[in-house]
Amino acid sequence: MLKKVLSLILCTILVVSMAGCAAAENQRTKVTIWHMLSGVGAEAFDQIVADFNASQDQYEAVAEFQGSWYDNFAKFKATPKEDLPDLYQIVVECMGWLAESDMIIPVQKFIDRDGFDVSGMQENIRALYTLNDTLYCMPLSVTMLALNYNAEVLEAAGIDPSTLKTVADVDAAAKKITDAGLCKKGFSLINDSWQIEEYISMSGEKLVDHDNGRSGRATKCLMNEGTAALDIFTTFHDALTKDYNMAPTTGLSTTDLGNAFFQGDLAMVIFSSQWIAKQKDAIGDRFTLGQVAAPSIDGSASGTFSPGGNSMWIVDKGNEELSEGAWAFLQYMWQPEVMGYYAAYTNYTPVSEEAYNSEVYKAHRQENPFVENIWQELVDCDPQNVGAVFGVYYEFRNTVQNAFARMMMDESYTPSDAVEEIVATTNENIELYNEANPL
Amino acid sequence: MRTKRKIMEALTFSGKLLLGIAVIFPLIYGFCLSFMGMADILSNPPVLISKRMSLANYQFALQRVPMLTYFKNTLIVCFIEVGAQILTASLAAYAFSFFEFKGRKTLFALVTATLMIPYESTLICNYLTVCNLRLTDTYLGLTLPFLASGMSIFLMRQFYMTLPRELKEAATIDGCGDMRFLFSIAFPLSLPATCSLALYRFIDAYNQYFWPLLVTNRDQMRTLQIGTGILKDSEAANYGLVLAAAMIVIIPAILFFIIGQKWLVKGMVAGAVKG
Repeated sequence: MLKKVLSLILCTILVVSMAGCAAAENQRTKVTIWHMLSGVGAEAFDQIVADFNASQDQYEAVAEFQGSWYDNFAKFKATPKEDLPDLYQIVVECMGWLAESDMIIPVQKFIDRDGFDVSGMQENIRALYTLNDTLYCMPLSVTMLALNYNAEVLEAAGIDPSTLKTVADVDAAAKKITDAGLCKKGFSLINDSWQIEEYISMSGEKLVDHDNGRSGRATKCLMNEGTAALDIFTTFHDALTKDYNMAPTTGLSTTDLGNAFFQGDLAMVIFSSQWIAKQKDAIGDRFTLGQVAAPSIDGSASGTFSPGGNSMWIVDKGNEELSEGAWAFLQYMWQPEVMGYYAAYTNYTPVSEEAYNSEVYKAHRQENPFVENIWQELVDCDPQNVGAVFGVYYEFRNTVQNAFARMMMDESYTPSDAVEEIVATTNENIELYNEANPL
Repeated sequence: MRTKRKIMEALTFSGKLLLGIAVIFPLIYGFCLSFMGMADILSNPPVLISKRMSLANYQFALQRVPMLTYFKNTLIVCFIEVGAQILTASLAAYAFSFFEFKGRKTLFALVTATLMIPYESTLICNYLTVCNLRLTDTYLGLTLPFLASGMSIFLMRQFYMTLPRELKEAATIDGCGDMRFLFSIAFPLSLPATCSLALYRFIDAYNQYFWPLLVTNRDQMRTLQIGTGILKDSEAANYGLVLAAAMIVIIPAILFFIIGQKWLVKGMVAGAVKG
C-alpha cells in the first residue's frame, strides 16, 4: 500500500515539474541551423542570426558549426531524422543527394503559399537550384571562376586585363610579364576540379547525362564523349607546364599557388573570385588585387560559366512549427540589406539584384571596383547551362583533382589518360551510388 | 684519450642538438607566426620576427570561440576516458592473466582482434547508437565508445603477465582476495604501465575531432579541437589565427605530458628497485 501511494506521489511530482519546465521554456521556438561556415563566413552568419533573433520574439535561431562541407554532409546523412537541424546550409555539390532524399521541403512550397517575392533572385542562381520548375533552396552566396591578377604588374607590362579573353591571351601576357622581369611567374590555375566543371559548362557540353542530371538521374559521365574535356586538359597542360608559368601539382587544400599569388611571385591565377578576395589581407600593401571573368579555352565556346556557391535548405522533420521557423529565418535573410551585408563581408557575389544594389554592397563596390566584373560574369551566364547534379560529387572532385595534378607532373600520363581515368572511375561511382540508393 | 672522448661527446651532442632543433622548429615557427598578420606570414623570405607582432590573433581567437568552455569540456572528456580505461583495462587484464577459465585464450584473441578494426569503420554505427540512446550533447555520449578498448586491455595484460605468480600465491595464503590483490598489490606495481596507458589515452582523447563534432551540437558541449576548426576558414586559412588557437590548444597538452613523464620515470624506478 505504502509503495503504491509513494509511487503515485512521485509520479505526480514528476508530471507537475515537467509541465512547469515546459511552461517556462515555451516562449520561443528554437530553430536549429547547421552550417559549414568558418572564418569570415561564420562571423557574418552569426551576426545575421543574432539580428534575426533580436528582430522578433517568436523564434530563436541557433547556428551550429558542423565541420567542413564533407564532414558536415557525412553527419547530415548519418543522423536520424528527429536529430536533424531545421535549416541546413551546404554547398551546391550536395544538391543531387538532398533533392532526391525525403529529408527536405523545397522552398518553392512556401514561396507559392505565401506569394513571397523572389523575383529579384539572379536568374542564373535560380536556375542552378531549380529542378523540374521547383526551387529547392534559398541561395546564400555565389562565387564565380575569375582571373585574379596583380594590377600593378599588368599595368607595368601594358596589359589591359579586359582583353584577356582566352587562355592563349593569358599565356601570351604571362610570357610578356616574365620576359620583362616584372614577376617571377606568369599564370596558373588552382586545381579544385571545380574549374574543370566550369570549363565544361563553358564549352556547352554536359558533365553527366540526362541534361546534367537535371531531367533525370545521372547514369554516366560524358567527359569522353565530346571534345571539351580533352581540349581543356590539353590546353592547361600545354600552357602551365611552360617554365614561366606554374603547374598546379596538388589539390586545393595543399596548394601553394594562392600563397605565391599573395606574395607577388605569381602575376595571375584562375580560381574562385571569393576564395582570393576574402584573403585580401594576405596581400597587404604589396599590390592591388584585380578580377575579371576567367578566360575561355578558345574563342569558339558556345556555353557560359556556371555560378557556384552554397544555399539554405529547409529540413522536413514533420514538425510544422519548426519548418515555419526555418522559413521565417529565410525570409529575414532574403532582405537586400542582409544579403548585401553577407556578400560584402565575405567577398561572395550577391545572389539578387536588390542585394547587389543595396547600400552596404554599393559601399563595398566602391572600395573593390573589380567585383562589378564578377557580377557581370554572373549576369552573362546562361540559365540553360548551369552546373550538374549528381550524388557522387565529392568522389568526382577527388578523382579530377588527382588526375589533373598527375597530368601536370607525370610526362607519361597524357591529358587523354586523365580524362579516361576520370570517366571510368566516375561511372563506377555513379553506378554504385545508383544501386545503393534506388529511387 | 680523454680529449678524443670529449670530441666524440661534443660531436654526438651537437648531432642531438641539431636533431632536436629540427624536431622542435615547426613548433617555434608556428609560435612566432601566431603573433603575425597574414601579410607578414607570407613575406618572402620567411621571417621569425616581424616588427608588427601583436597579440591580436590570440585576442580574436578567444573572442571568436569560447575556448575556456571548450577547454573545460575537453578536460572532462579526457579524465572520464582515462579513468574509465584504467579501471576497465585493469579489471579485464587481471582476469585474463590471473584467472584460469574455459575459453580464456579465445576471448583474449577476440579482444585483441578489435585492434584490427579501424575506428572510422565503426564511427557511424556508434553515432547512430548514441543518437538512439538520446545521448547527443552529453559527456556520456562523448565518451561512451572510448570507455574500454582492446589496446588498453592488451597493454595491461602484458604487464600483469610479468608479475610473479608467487606473489599471488603468498597473498592468497595470507587471506587476500582477488579484488584486494588487484588494487593493493598488482595495481601499484603496474604504475609504469598504467602511466603510459593514461598518457597515451589522454593524448588520444585530447586530439579527437570528428567524434565530438558528430555527437555535439550545442556550443556549451564542444571541445577544443572543434574550436580550432571553427577558426580555420573553409578552404583557406588565416594561418596566424589558426596557429594562435593551436598554441592555446597545445600548451595544456604539453604541460600534461611533462607532468606525466615525471610520473612515468618515477614509476619505472620504483619498480626497478623493488624488483
